[in-house]
Amino acid sequence: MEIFAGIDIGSLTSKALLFGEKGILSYSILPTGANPKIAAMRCLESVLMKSNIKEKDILSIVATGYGRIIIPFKAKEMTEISCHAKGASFLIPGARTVIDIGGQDSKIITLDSNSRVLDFVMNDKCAAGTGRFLEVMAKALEVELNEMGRLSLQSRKSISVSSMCTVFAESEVISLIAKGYEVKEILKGLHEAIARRIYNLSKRLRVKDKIVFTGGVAKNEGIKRFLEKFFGKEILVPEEPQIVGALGAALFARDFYYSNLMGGKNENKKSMFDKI
Amino acid sequence: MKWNDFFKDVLEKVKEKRLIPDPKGLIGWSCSYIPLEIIEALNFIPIRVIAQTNGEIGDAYLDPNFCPYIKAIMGDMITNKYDYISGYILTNSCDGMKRLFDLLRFHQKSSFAFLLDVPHKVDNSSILFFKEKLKEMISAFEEKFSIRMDENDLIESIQNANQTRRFIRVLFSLQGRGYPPLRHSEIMEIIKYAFDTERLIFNESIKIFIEYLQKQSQIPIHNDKRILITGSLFVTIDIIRLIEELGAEVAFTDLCMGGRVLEDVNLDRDPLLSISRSYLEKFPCARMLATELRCQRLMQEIERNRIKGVIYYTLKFCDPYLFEAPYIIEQLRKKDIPVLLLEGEYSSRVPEAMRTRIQAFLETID
Amino acid sequence: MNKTNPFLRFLIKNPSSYRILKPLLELFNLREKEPYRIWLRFLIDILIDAFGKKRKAVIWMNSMTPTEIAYAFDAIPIMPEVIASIVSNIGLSGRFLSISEGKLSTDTCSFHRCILGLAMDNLLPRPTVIISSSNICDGANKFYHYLSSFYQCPHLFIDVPYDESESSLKYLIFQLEKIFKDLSEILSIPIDQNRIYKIISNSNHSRSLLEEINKMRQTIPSPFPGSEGLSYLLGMNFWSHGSERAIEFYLALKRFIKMMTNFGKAYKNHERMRILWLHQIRPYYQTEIFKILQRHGAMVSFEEGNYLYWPPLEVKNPIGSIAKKILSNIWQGPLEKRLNAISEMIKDYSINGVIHFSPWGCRQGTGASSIIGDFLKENGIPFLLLPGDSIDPNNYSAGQTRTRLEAFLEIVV
Repeated sequence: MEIFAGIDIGSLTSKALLFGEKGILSYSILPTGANPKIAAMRCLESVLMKSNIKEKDILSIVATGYGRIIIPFKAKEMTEISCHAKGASFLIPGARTVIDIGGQDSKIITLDSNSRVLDFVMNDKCAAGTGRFLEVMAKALEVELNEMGRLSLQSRKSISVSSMCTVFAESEVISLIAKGYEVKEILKGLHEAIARRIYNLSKRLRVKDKIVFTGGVAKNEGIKRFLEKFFGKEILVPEEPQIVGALGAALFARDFYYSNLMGGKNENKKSMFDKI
Repeated sequence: MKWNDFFKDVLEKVKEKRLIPDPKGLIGWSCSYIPLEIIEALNFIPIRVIAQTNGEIGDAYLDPNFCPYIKAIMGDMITNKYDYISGYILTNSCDGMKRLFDLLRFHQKSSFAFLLDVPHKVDNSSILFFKEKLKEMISAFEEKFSIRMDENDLIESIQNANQTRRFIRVLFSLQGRGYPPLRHSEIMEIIKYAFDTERLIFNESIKIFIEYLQKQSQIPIHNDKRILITGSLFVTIDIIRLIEELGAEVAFTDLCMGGRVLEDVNLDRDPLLSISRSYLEKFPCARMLATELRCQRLMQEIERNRIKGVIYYTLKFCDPYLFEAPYIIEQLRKKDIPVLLLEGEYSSRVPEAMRTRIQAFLETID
Repeated sequence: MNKTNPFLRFLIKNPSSYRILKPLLELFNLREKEPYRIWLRFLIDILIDAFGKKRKAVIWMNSMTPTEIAYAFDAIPIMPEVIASIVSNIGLSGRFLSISEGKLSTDTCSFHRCILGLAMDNLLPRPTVIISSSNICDGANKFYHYLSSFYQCPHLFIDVPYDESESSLKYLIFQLEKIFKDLSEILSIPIDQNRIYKIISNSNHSRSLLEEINKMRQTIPSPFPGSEGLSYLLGMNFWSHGSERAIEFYLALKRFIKMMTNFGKAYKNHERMRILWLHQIRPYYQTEIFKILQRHGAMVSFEEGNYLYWPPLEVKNPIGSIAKKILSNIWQGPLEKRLNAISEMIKDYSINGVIHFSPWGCRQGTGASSIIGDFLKENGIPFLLLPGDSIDPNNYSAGQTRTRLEAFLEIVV
């Protein structure tokens, strides 16, 4: 059985995924914490345990995400842009636009008809509208993170928050609550603002159907609906949107393995149990 | 806001009564160095391009480290908010404006766009040069719209514009009149109407308003906290209102839509040369290479208006004002004049942080 | 931030330090390319002259102000912006950026902030006169004017018109004639027609060598790396035209490139992608950018900063032709000029991908990036906007830059 692995080390969470002949074998999502190397190790261990596979059975590994640079047991690195594109088009054939909102950054990627990356735009200068932003807001509004989206859709009115800087927005939200505004209205305002920023960011590209939404924030129903409102198109969310990057990485691992077989030498693979 | 509403009523009444012959159209303009007299002599109505949105759309076309005012204009242009305008006159006032001019043309947002080249310095050669450029602007209009400008129309236009400027100067001198006293922020609101109303209507309205006001008594205001604001521009008068709310008095504003539209055109035998000279010789904007002169004139106003503190307000990323700041601030500090440097976004609300700074600054002024 | 200690300052401003440094640098750089060594010598000699007992006048100029003016008066041109890039290259810009932090907003051009820090720390050769021109950015105008009040020296300002019409040329020529007269008065040096002719013909000689060099760089694979084009080649283009040293430099560079092309050698082997670098500058402090490119087989084959935009100067019409040189600058005026040049460069250098560097403090260079991006994408050429800064390492994020570059290279290769 041929097995390939993809590791996606993000700022908030690390994901590992095993891919075999029949498709996805297993995956794990763990918090990255302070040490990405250890997070990567733990993630890989966890996913191996889940499917009862040994590390030596993996034919090739690709790492992605901001922590990809320091993983010693990789075969290759690919950026999250290429990996998200690859993973999204595997899960949703015909995907031409990928919107990825992760822990600390957001990106929009356009693909050509061969599912190759055409263009991309990133917003990584600040955390506005990302997972981290929503975490901070959830705390300030005293709601559960996974309830935010649903609640935001329940309000007719929305209160706009003028600052998009996470830190300033937090203080603004707290003062709005003190003034007596409803949590749902504030949530609606925040979610709309996040969706609008993404929509405006997308203006630099030519967005086409089908639009796929990935990353942890894709689980937020509110953001999804507001994105649909702004784009005027359906937004598709895969069943587990957080592992799309790791899936893409595993698919690249498979590609590299086969292209090496056909005309390259085998790369020197280090075991993760070697000195890190 | 009583006086502002009163003026608005007067304006509406005058609009009803007066019939103005149909203008050829509206021309958007961006900079106080553009002689509106010429646009009016060609029978167009000049409309100041004052963007409404807060620039998020503009982010798709310009980098985040770009002038927020220009990004806001870009956002409005792309969403076709200015479709009713027949054309644009921009200047090379700054790098941002030059790029806006390029964006305008590349996105084909107008069939007529002209960049007026304003020299950076003032001397005989640049005055002659500016006159040539004004001539080129007139030719561009004449060619595009198949019209000819009549010199008599230009002279009349200059005289009407001088009227407006005289009225505005008188209005500023009436600050403090009436009950409640006419405030600086209200004057600024009223001046805003000049930027999008047909001139003769505005002139008549402000004449009526001034006559009424002059009959009111002057209640002496012993407000020692007299502030001068110098800077580029802001979309909302809220900052001035905030200062007034906090108990200070704004005595003079050196801004694109305040103090820099006050000076007359001295008409002599050559009206175009007169325009060139008078526009270049007025209170300079920081984009001119005239730092020492600006400083001198600011000091004059500070003395004349018994100013206790200066607020230096620039838009974020505004290079002309940011690079002008060190010298001006040094000179103010040498004369022990308190100064507050503020960098703002182009937004319709005064952010908390800015409010706090202004409040703290006013508290330190005796 | 502490000012430099007086003894160190004495060393830095003492011409003897550079006289001692010169042979040491020669020794240290024996294995480097010849043009690079000539560049070092050029710099050191200028510093020796500029810090020396004032036999010659020191004229500060901003980039793209024609140095022929200074050479015509046998004066020493100093280009503070190039000095800032060198200070950044040796890792010291942070210090000077901190010194000037109270004076200039951190959103303004980091070149100017660094220069101000160096000036406030009294480390630069004092200017006799400052000449600046308003192309291509607002900041330079105001900044050099401020410097003239800082150093209490005259400021001669060239107001460059927006377009290339007759009235604009006339205005510019008038100003240049006045500047020559004013300079002659300030420096108490009469205008020397013979020296002017010599300078003009020197400039034309180095110009035609540059033209040949640019043509030779069209070879595949690239014989000369853009990373060096963006550093000392750009430096010489700003600083040396009109001097004899320039001719020596360009001849050496031409020889080097000829040698590379004769042996069919690429600068680095397996060149898989030819990149055009947009925006005149690059980050001057140490970054991984060019290493990452090389690892993926990408070579910056050409950079727009070295595009030859001006026609030869005319010995019979020195001031008029210098005016034409200033006006033909492609970053001045409507964007079409720059776009046409970019189209030409893409064809001539067989470019597969374009990287547009976008420094934080720069408005003139970055405002057009969306139009250029759209234009390139319409013509099927991959385009990457790379934010960062040229002098201030605080505005550089290694992780983000690497991700953007790699994602771009994954598209192109």
